[in-house]
Amino acid sequence: MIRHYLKLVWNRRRANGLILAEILISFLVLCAIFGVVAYYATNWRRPLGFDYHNVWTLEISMPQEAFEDSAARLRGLVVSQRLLATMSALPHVEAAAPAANTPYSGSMSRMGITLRDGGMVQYLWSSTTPAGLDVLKLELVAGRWIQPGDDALSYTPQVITQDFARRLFGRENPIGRTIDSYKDGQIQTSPKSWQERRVVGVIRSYRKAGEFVDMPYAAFQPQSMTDPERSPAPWSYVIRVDPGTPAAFEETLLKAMHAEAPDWTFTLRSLELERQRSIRGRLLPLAFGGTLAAFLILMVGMGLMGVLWQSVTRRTQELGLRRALGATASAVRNQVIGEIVVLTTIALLAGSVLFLQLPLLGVLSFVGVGVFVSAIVVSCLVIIPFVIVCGLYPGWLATQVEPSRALQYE
Amino acid sequence: MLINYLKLAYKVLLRRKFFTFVSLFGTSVTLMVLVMAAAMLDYSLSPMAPEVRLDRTLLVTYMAMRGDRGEWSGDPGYGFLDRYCRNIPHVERMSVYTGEHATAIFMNGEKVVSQMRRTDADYWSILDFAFVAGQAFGESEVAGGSHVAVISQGTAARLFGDRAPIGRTFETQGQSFTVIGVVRNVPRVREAAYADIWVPFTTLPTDQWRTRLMGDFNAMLLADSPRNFRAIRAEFAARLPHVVMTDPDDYKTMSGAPRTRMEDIAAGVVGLNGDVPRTGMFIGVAVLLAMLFMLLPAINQVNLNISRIFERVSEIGVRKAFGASSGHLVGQFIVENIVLALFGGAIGLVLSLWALRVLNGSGLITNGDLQMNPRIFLYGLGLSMLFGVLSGAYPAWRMSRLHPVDALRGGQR
Repeated sequence: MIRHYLKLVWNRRRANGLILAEILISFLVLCAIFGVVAYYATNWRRPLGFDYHNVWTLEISMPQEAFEDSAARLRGLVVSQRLLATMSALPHVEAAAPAANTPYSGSMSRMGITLRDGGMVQYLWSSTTPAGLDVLKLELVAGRWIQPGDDALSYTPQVITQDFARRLFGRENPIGRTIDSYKDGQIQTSPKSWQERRVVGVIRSYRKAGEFVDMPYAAFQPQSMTDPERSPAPWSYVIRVDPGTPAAFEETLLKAMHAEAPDWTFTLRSLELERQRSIRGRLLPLAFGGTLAAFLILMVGMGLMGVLWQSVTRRTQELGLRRALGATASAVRNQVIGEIVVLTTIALLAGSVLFLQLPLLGVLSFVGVGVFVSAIVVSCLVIIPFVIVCGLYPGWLATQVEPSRALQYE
Repeated sequence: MLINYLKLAYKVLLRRKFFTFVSLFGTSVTLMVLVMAAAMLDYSLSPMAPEVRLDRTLLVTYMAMRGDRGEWSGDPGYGFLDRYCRNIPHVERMSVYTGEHATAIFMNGEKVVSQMRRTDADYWSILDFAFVAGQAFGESEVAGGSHVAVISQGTAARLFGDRAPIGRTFETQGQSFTVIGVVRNVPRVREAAYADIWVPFTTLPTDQWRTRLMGDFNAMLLADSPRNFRAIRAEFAARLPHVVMTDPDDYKTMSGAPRTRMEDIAAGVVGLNGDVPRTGMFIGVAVLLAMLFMLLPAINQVNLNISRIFERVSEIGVRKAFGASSGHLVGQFIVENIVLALFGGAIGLVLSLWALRVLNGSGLITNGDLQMNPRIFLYGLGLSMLFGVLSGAYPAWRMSRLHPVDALRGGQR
């Protein structure tokens, strides 16, 4: 049966070629959209690692002079100490800590290392103080969090995410291991001995870019508030407040900060609002693309219906002859629909092969193969029923052909 | 002849209403999307208030310092712009201003977040702001570091409600400013002009920014004519080797060039090749995307057209038998298609007018006021014609090759 349909399709290959191209492109468009949806959905299910409720971020822009020399850096740290003490003592503040790379912010400090196997890994690093754990409500799964005094050890303690630990050390216990970068098979030594990175704890995850983005590798290290050699003055803080903190809190906090550092500029943001903004920023283009795709598919569907309709009226003789020779109405309808389904299947197969080139060629390597496969499956599940629906009316028209009228032609 | 074609086209379109509907639907929505994209591009690139002199403005928005220790690229600093960019021949006026930054103002317990920009006095003569009340600050206010501010209508309403804003004060970033002017809201896309609050740049706290080579400043260079852009760029490039680096241990050279708005946008979208924006690539990508987007509707249209032709095979056969040349038939069919595309285009333009209103009302573009203008109308018309010819050529060619005998018999399969 299918071989027969294939033959019919092949006999009209010139007309069918364009329909094939049309379905193929529609399929690729759908794959792109569902690919993004699948990617977002996969990431959404992963643990976020922090709690964004009742958290504010305070971003500071300092004049460049604050980083000029070690005396200026020390002054910066002294001011920062006062800022941290002031904000922690404000009413409604539960805890406050410096933290680079605050959630949902654009800032992105990354460190790149080369592993022993030659693989390159980029991880997000963030300096914070012991209070950081309570502010962000990170989930510690092994080892310990940053402690007071960690900023003066002979090494730099690191608290890393589970995924990062697995990438670095596989199934082995990461606690006590060092994070090294290799060059030509040799460990690259740091200029200062305290710059050696030693893992002391593991957290569930810290996906600062939010629910939709996969960001598996991150590390926290202690922020020194006294030693300008080890850390410059922090440029962002996270602050956890009581639930139901009044709006006036913002003004109080900013005034207090300005009083301590008149020539620094402060921006206070609510993490909950930043999260909404970030989610909106990712969904809006998707909604836009989805609308365009829906329009394209609808247009292709209507076009397909028109073309099938036309081909049925042109093939009156053929269809009438079949009826005259005893084919049932449903057999004729199945032929019309069967032909277009066969054509669609060919297009989908070709499209899948094309689309799977993306993961095979290593483009978009941060996206798992599963995402591509589910995009293809969902697109097929949308297109095949859609095409059948488009064939229903022309199929019904084909059953209305009178054998006697068809035979008149011959 | 053409009149006949048009009449025929009209009759044919009425005959198969479903086909005509599908064609018009496809064409009009495709064109709506393309016209919207064209409108956005036109809106960002054309001189429009307050950037009325954009066509002869060059922007210094990006410089790079390089040395053994690495690279520092981004906005230039005041020191560089003030010392090395002034008095370039063919530059009539120059303005130096900072980027716009979010700042919070607390007014009667309410938080108002505004974008604040610090500018010089020439800023107000290069850009043409629509003042609703008061006026801009001038040389003397800038020289004296007066804490005065020009604010937008929207900000005035949010800060002071119905009360007259002139002379009132607000406090932000620990500084207090007196409002001396109110301007109409500025759309976000007018990059150099956009902000809610403008204050003299001399109100910046501390003083170190005055000597910085890199920092947070931009400059507009108003040329006497766009023809002299090349000369201005050459002079700019000739001055770069003379820049005295402030920390030669870290950075040894300074590079970059004044840009047009187009180059600025291209740099933001597709990046830089060295220090040069990939403008060609930007245009190429935009055209490619538009073509790709038109591909599917075009194939769809070709399919429909082929179907339509085969429905009229006997008509074509009769015409051929009576001596119509292929050229005639192709011409007729292309005219038919262009008529269809123009109809679709007209509907598409109406749809885009509606979509522009929705877009302006949605607040997706801050203070956006996209308008339909003759230029965009012409884009739309051109795109419609292109679409008509594109989707009509192949079916017409197929039709012209039909043999009259076959055609009279009802076409071959």
